[in-house]
Formats: sequence, structure tokens, C-alpha cells
Amino acid sequence: MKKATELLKKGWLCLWITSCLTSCETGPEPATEPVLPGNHGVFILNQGRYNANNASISYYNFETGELQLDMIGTDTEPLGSLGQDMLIYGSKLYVTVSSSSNIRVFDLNSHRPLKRIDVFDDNAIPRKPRYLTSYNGNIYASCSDGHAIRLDTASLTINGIVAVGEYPEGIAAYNEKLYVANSGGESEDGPHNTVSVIDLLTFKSEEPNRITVGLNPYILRSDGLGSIYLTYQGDFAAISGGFQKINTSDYSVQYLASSPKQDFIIENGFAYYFDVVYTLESTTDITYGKYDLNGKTVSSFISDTGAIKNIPYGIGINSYTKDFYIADSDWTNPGKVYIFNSEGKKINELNVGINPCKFAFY
Amino acid sequence: MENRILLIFFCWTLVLQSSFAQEDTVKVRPLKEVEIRKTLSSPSYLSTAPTQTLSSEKLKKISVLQVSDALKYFPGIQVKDYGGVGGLKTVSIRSLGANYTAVVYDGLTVSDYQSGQIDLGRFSLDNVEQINLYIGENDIIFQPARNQALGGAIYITTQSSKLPANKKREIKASLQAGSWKMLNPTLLFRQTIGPTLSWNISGEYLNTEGNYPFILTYGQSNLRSKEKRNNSDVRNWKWETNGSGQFKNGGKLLFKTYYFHSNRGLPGAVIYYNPYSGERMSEQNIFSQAHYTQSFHDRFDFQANAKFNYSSVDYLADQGFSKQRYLYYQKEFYLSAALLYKQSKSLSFSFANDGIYGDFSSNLPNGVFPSRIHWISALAGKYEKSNFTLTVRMLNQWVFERLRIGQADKNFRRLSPYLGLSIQPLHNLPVRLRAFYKNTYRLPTFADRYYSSVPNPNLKPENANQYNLGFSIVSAFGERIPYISFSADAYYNKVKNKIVARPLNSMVIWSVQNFGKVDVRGIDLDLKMQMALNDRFSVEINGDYTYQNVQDKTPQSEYYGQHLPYTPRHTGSGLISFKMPWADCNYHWIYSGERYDNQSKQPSSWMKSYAEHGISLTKTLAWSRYRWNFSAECLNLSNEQYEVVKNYPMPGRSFRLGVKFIY
Repeated sequence: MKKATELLKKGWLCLWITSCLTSCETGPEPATEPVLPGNHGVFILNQGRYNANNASISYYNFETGELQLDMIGTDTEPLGSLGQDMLIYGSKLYVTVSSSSNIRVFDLNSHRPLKRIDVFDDNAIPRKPRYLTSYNGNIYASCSDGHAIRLDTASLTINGIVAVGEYPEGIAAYNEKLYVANSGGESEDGPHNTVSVIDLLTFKSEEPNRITVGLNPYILRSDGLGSIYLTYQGDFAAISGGFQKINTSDYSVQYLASSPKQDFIIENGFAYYFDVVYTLESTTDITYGKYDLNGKTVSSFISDTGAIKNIPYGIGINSYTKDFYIADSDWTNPGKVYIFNSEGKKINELNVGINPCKFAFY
Repeated sequence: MENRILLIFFCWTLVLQSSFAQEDTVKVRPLKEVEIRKTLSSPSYLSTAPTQTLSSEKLKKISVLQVSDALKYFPGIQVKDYGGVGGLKTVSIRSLGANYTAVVYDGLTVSDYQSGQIDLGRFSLDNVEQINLYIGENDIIFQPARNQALGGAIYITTQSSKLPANKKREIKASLQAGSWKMLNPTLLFRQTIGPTLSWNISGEYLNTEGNYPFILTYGQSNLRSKEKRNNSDVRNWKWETNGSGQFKNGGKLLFKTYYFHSNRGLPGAVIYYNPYSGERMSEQNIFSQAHYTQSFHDRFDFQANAKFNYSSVDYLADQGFSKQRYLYYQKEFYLSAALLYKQSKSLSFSFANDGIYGDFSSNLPNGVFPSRIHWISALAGKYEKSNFTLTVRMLNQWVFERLRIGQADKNFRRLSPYLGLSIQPLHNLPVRLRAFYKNTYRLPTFADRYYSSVPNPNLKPENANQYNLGFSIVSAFGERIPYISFSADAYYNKVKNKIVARPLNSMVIWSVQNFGKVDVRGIDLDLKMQMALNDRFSVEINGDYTYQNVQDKTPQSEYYGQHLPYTPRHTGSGLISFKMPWADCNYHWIYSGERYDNQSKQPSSWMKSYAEHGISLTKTLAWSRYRWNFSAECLNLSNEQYEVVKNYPMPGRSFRLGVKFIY
């Protein structure tokens, strides 16, 4: 049980995919050359195993077709334990490494590491950064210790911190507001069901007012049009998870569907996701869906689902080619990334690191 | 004088063995010293399954503090060691997993309902007389049924309360001090009250800061940093008392109470760039047990055993920004009775029946308060001649499980046989062949069944079939080599319905399932030799080697046929001790070959081989009726940096000084 609680604390899978691609604006640290997402290659974050210090970033180069298993620089200073989230903003790649409690920054052009930002409080207690988003020249990260932090992208220093609920997870920004999911994860009174709102101009939270959402909120994602979509996981027992929408103008919450519960990405008015329904006897019922955010209908986007061997753990979409990326995992051994074309046919397969969970295209 | 002490010591061990459930194997009769020595140091010679023994004398030579350290010197044993004095240490016999290892403390098994694994780090060696390892089964048919219900057993026998005939009372006191503020005082008092009654009491305190330094290597990079294993402090208290008495009707009674308290930090895995560690554990264990044995006529022996066990764990999960306390409680009531029928000198039959009630509770929000009634019966027969041993046993287990919350009553019955044979084909050639087959069920623990994130009450017991074929030679070559033995065993274990924790849709949601098959093939070699250079100098050599191939045989597994993680192909250990007039010097080492921490065999999952060397010097001084024993030890002489479990570094070079006083 000890193991379970520790896993619960630290093992939330990541999904927050490149939200900046659709929602961010150019900040004080603009890209040196115009970035065409999905033209060069894709970074794949391999979460690694719990307590194993084997998180890694693989890079798949579209131009040469080459797969580089470990990112430059991580051979001299490895990532650490539990890679949680990754995003590209401006000319840099940002990665949260949760158990190691730091944020790693890489230069997008040279792929070289720029800085390791250790995220500890004044008493040297790790804050454990979780999920990332970007807004107006800053990077924001939720931290397991009940805070959200602000990282200046020019100086690469933490210049703001604000308290939110317990065990925050997903994070999203829209219209001068930051939304943070208070999962309650492993707090004493079980999972919680709120989202904290922070004013980005003052970097103060609107507490005690919080938005009430489904139990155990997980991934938040802005569509850039005024809605924040979120998944919640329930209690993994009697209360199941689902998919909701927050209207940012009046903070009203609307239930949408029972799937996705975990991982999804938004692209052109659709939410793409995978869902794993487990039963006692382990036979996992895996579905891949495409949810029409306007029409509220579900269709499939992969025809070749049999190609995926293990349990899906990450999802990505190349906005340039419209190829879908699904990562799978058996939790202990290196996973695979399956690439499907826009028709849903498998076109490639990559052997990457352990627990591949996140994609960042550029 | 020295010979007499030796003889007394051996006789006393015999008495101890025979007084506790082993009547049917050791023939107690006045023997010449060499003969006794033979019987004792090579019980494996006669047995149908591989057996190893470490006497208290040998335990001193290998400089060990905890039982788990001693077990590293047995072939076919893998000790999973999380490092330091307080780190968890579990023992797997021939890669079956720690749940197949029974730990028998002074005749009765130690239980754990939560994990099914016994932390052998908590048993200190100060008052231990002997440790036996039995792979498969031993040929003692007259003992509680549960002792033989698993794939192998470690018998820990503490000093009996009986004193040599010329002594009325004895006091032993010792003090050990060592690196990282290790301090370990012990006290033992034994007394004989009249011709039939005796008792003893022993106490022990162990304190260490345990914050040993280590070099952190960052993966395969060249990055290194000097770190300390913080939050590794240990404070243990142990009290034990034994009584033994003999009744007029010939019945013998042994009684024991044991109390253990431990408060320690759990340093956890080393995480790169994050040195924070705050987890704590406080553990308490108390048990009382009684053993009664009596003969009826010439043909029947009867024994009864009773035990009560209570243990609690107070675990503080600490991430710095959040602290949570988890409390776990277990208790057990255990009754056992056994009857031995001796048809003739060589043929005997026994029936043993154990009834056990155990329960588990906690402050966990999803606690279901499970309890279990376990009914184990064993019917056994043994035919033993000087050149032939045949042991047959049938074990029946009934398990009834109840939950206070929820209604998943779970009952099942399993039958498992044992068949063992040992034969000396030629009378004048000291070679003995042995073979055994054993079928074992490893029951799901309460944690397996009810405390995963998706509890699986349908979990079946895991099953293992063990096969062993081997031989042993015991001989002597004149005065110079009074004793030499060699044994070799080839084994094959087939495990099915393996109980494994499998994530369902993320690392968060996991369930325990019967999944997978494993084949274990291996060879164990063991050499023991004594050499006497002259009257004053002698040398003793022990060497062990294990080869094993542990394969994943799960159908459709991507890694079918591949080696399992954490199973080195080569392991070995050795001990050379020199007995000299001015002091005794011992040199010992253990070796483990390379292995992987997963099945992918990627460079990042590779773990390097290691060897740990140690040396010790001991000197005994006798003055009047007082004896003083001084020891100086150096462990991990070459300061090898290594890990048994990935990211749990082991201590580097350390020193210990000890003094022991016997009156």
C-alpha cells in the first residue's frame, strides 16, 4: 500500500501537450527564427520509472529520419527521476522533472542544455514541479507542494510563487488568468474537486473562490477561444472520471463525456485522446477517440489500433503533417512510439526510452 | 582445555538441536570429537535436500551484525539489501522470491500478513547459536507443519538456557562500536535452577547514525558527486527470555518471549538533484511461544506448540510539504501438534497439524480488516539407513479468509507433495547422491489481495515446482586435512501463476494479478576444507558458487526466454580463517556478477558486478573463570561502491571494534 500511495503521489502521467502552440503569444523572448511546428522533428519525453533516475528525452529528426535516444547534454548531466511535462516556448524547450524537483531548459536550435533550475523552498524542501504552460513571456508550473510558480523565460529564474490547493496537477492560461487543477491527490481527505484561478497581472489567486469541477481534476487545456477543457480521474473505484469544460467568462462548468479521463490534445476543434478502461482481471479495454468540441460527437482517428502493443501512455499530433503519435508502455521496459498518418494508418514505429509520455514538435 | 571447550560446545549444540524438534535426525550419543564435528558441519551430507549451517563460531569469523549478512555466505541465496543497518533485507532462495522463504525462529515460523516477506535485518546475531538454511525441505519430519510449507527455510536457533554441567550461572556482556556512530551493547544471563530447570534473559541495544558517505554516479555520465546517506539512523531494542524445564514424566517444556522495538529513518532511493529524505518507521514486535515434547512408550513422540504474535508499524510518509502517518497492526494465534511413530530404528511416520489465526488492520481509508484461518496438515514418512534416506511428505493447506468490511469470503485448499532421496551407492566411497521434488504454494498476502489500488480478491496462490539433483563428498586426507567436503547441486524451478503487481492504465492504477511463468535453472557448488599445519596453526576454507539462469516464460511476452531483472548469473562467496596462537584472522568476501534492473538490457539498466571483502581479527583471553574476547573488523576493505537494489547505495569501508566478556 505504501507503494500505491507513493505512486499516487508521484506517478501521475503527463499529457499537457504543447499548449503554447495554439494559445501562447510572443513574449519578451521571441524566437530567433520563425518556428514551423512539426517541420524539424519531435522531442519525446520518457518519464522513466519511479525512483529510478532514468527519465530521458529522445529526439526524432524528420529531416534525416534519425532517432537520437538521449538528448545532447543529458549524457553529461542526466535528467533525473520522473520526467513529467515538456513544452516548447520561443527558442527553448522546458521540461519538468518531478522527483528530482527541477525544470530543465534546452536550446531549441543546438539542442544543448541551458540551465537546470532547482525548485526548492526556503527550507530546502522540494516543491516537485508537475505541469507546464506558457503565457506572455513566462512559463508557469504547478508544484506538488501546493503552489504555482512563474519562470521568466529571459533570465530563466523563478520570479513569482502563489499558493493554490493541494497536489495541483494540470495548468492552463487564458486571458490574463491561470487555471490550476487541485487534484487533492494524496492529501489526507482524499481527492479534491476544485480549480484555482490566479490573476496573472498581479500573480495573486482569487482564493477562497475556486471553481468546482469533477473529482480529482487532472489535465487542463485551453482551446484559445475562451474555454478550458479538463479531465478528471475520480477515485479509481466507485466514482469514475470524465471530461468537462470551464467557461472562462463566468466560470460555469459543463460535463461533456465520460472519456477522456486522462490524456488528450486539442487540435482544430477536436480533442484527440486515448482511454483505458481497466477491469479486475486486467483485460484493458483501450479506445482511441476524436471528440468534436462543437458537435459533441465521438469518432475514431486510428484504424490500425492493433499495431499498439502495450498500454498507451502518451499522445501527440504533428500540426504540420497531421500525423498522430501514440506512445505505449509496459511500465518497466523501454516503450515504443507509433506514428499514424492522418488516415489512421501506421507509418512508423520508434523504440524510445522508458514510459514515453510527452511529445513536443518544432 | 581447548578440546574440552570444543567438545562441550558441540555437545551443547547437539542438546540444543535435539531439544527442539529435531530428535529424529541427530543421534545423541557420546562421540569422539571428530565424529561430532562431521555430523554437525556436514548435515547436508545425509540430507535429501541441500542444507547449510553457520555455527556461532563461524558467524564470528564473517563479521556479521545481522542475520541477513550471514545468509550472503550461503549458495543459492539472494539477499535483497537496501543498504545500511536499517535498510530492508529480504532473502530469496534460488530466485523464487522472498515470499517463498520461511523464517523459523527457535522452532516456530515468523509471519507477516501484510507483505509475506520477513525483514532479516532485524534479527541480530548476538545470541544466535546457529543458522541453518534448508532448500526444499529438511528431513526432520517431527516438527510443526508450517515450517516446511514454503520453498525453503532459514532456521535461527538462539542460545539455549541450558548451561554446561559444571556451571550454575553465566553472564555474557559485549560491546561493539563502529563507523557512523554505531554502538551495540548486549547482555545475556543464564542460570540453572536445580537439575531440571533453567532460564536466560538477553537484551540488546543498537544505535547508529548510519549516514555513510557514497559517491553518486549520475547514470552513465561522467558526473559524480559526494553524498551522504542521510536519514539512515537506527535505534533498536531487543529483549528475549527463555525457560526450559523437564517434568517427571519425561516431558520437556521450552518457553520464550521476544520483544523488539525499532525506530529508524528510511532514506529511500537516491534521487538525482534532490537530497531530501524524511520518511520514518517505528516498529514493534512481541511474541511468546511454548514448546512441549514427550515420549510415550518407545514408539510414540508427541509435541505441542503455541505462539502469540503482535506487531505494529508506524510509518511516516514525508515529502517535506506533507506528512502522513500510516499505522499497521497484525496479530497471530498459532497452535500446532505433531505425533511421531517409530516403526523401527530406520522407519518412522509423523502427522503434524497447525491451526493459525491471523489478522491485519490499519488506519488506511480503504482498509477492509482481513483475517485468515490457515489450517496446515502434514503427513510424512521417513526411511533412514546409514547409506540411504527417503523422505515423503504430503502437505495440505486450507485457507479461510474473512473481511470485516465487504464480504469476500475466500476459501481454498491446496495439496503439495515432497519427495526426497539420498543414497550412498558404494559403501567405501564417501559420495552421496541426492534428489528432491517439491511442490509449494505461495499464498497471496493481504497486501497482494486487498490493498492494491484495484484490489483483486480472486488472486490465486502462486505455485512453484522445485527439482534438485546433486551429490556430496565428505572425506579427510591424513592429519593435514582432517576434513574436506564438496557438494554440487543442479536445480530447476518452475513458477506459474506468479503474483505480480501490474499497472493497469498508468503507474498510479495497478492491481496484483496471477501473471506470468518463470523458469529457474541453476547450479550450486560448495566447498569446505580444514587444514592443520601443525598443532598450533590451522586453516579453514569455505567457498560457494552459484550459477543461475532465470527466464521469463510468460506466453506472448515480448521478453520471452530472457533473463529476469536482478538475477545475476554468477554469485559466490568465500571465507579463509587462520587459527594462530596469538590471534585468529579471517578473510571473507562475497561476489555478485553483473545484472540488469529490467529486461531490456539497455546500458542504462545495467548494474555492475561487485565484490565485497572483509577482514577480522579476534583474540580470546582467559583468566581464572573470566574470558575476554576482543575483535577488530574491517568491512568492505576495498571501499567498493556498489548497489544491490538500484539507487540504494551500500556502505563503503567501515570499522568495528568489539569486546566480549564471559563469566
